[in-house]
Amino acid sequence: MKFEQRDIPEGINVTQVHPLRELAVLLGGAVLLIVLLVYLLGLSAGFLARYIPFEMELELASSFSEETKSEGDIQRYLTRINDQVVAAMALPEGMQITLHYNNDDTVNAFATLGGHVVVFRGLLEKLPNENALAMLLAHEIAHVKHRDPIVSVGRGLTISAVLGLVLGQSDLGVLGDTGLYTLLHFNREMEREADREALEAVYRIYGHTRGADDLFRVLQTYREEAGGDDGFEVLQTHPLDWKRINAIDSLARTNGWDVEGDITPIPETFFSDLKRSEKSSEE
Amino acid sequence: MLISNMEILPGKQIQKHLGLVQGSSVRAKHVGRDIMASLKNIFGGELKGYTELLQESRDEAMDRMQQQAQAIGANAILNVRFSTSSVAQGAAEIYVYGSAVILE
Amino acid sequence: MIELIIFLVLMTLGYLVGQYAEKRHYESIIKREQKLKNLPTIASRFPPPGKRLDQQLVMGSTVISIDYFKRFIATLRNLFGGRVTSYESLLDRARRESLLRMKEQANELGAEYVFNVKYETASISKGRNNTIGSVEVLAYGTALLRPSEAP
Repeated sequence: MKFEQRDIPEGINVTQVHPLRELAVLLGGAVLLIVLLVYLLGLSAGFLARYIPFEMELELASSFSEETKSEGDIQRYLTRINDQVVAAMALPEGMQITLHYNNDDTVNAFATLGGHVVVFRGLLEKLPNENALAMLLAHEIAHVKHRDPIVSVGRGLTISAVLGLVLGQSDLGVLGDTGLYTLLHFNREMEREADREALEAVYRIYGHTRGADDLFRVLQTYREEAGGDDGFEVLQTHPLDWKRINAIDSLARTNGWDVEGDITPIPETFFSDLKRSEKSSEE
Repeated sequence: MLISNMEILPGKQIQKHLGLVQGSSVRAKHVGRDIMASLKNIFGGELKGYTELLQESRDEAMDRMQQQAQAIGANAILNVRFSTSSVAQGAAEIYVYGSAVILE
Repeated sequence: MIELIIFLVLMTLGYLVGQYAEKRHYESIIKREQKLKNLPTIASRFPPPGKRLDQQLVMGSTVISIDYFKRFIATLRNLFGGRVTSYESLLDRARRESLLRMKEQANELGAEYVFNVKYETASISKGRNNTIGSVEVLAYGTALLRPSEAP
């Protein structure tokens, strides 16, 4: 029996392609796919979420309503302003706003499922006038009116479900994060809409829009003091404060709303109530 | 190129053995197919996408084995064997190997 | 953020070390293959007739793992389908290494041929999320030995 071992050329069983090149092509494709998926899902889920009846949203949030205790005078004043704002905003039938005062230093306020709006003491203390407070409440109520909380919850759930299905079996979790940046963009659009709606409400209540931008000035000063990573817009849900100030300014001008007028102060007793509330929380 | 899984061909003489030649191929289907297949797992039945996947892999592996055989000047591959393994989720590896020979 | 940094570090490490190790391994495989070139390994079952030869089972096995970088490429490839190139070189190395180990064993025994060579492949660790990272390849065959001179 004759035998001869001959040299088999290399590279028949291995595709000759540079790994970095392949990584670039695949990664580009994957990021594109995910961004597209998130965008389409976000769009459709957001669209559908608006059709969820508000009653269902209330049920979803029912556990939330019991949490905060009312604080007498503070709550009363806030509710008065809140009622004014609600009256000026023409909410759809059946939609109700529940305002919560949260005795905490956090400089923030937010709207969540079921028409619950939470304002923190930290932010209230910094507000210079009632117009800014009305702007703040109107902004959060506008979110509720636009069904933004349910839309973002619906979006978040749908997107994480589908990405889980697509990326689930692999450790591509890192890629999933790229989708979130697109989500933030949606959020910023919501914010712009809410600002617009809120400014209109402030105009209806006071007959002018002066003082509304004080809210953003307060936020801006606070952010600058807190450490000021003002420049990196991609990572923030809200548009930059100076952009918002400019935006509402030009909005008022194009609509011919009066930008000058008398500012309504917040009663001094309200601030002393806040102080007392702060002390009671420390004890 | 003669490919057979027998070791002796009736009426033909092996002139020279040239050793083992082999072909392998690892392929995957896109994620849509994977999802469809996992759905199909509920109802049972043929997973067309994966049948296709394995067939493609097998063709490619055979092709690579033949390329090797041709490169060393063989005109037949005898005693060919296939083996299949799952090296990664949703990807299949087909490996085929045999003796490259020169027939008279 | 931390996650991303860990990921990037692992990718770079996996790429640099993995590429280097693969290059070294291929060089060593090619060198050893040349050395053992004259030991015939054949898939046929029937040894050449007429000769009296002793026989013994020989085998060689390799467990080899894929690096982080290539595993990432493979999972990405799973999204789109097509050739999973990162596993190709892994398996190629494992097969050739196993065959070489088998041949080295046969050579030490003083074999003239190795007949009926077969391969067995198994994925031995399923890893997190079923992403299999390592394979075992076993090559085995029957070595035909020159009969011992003694008694």
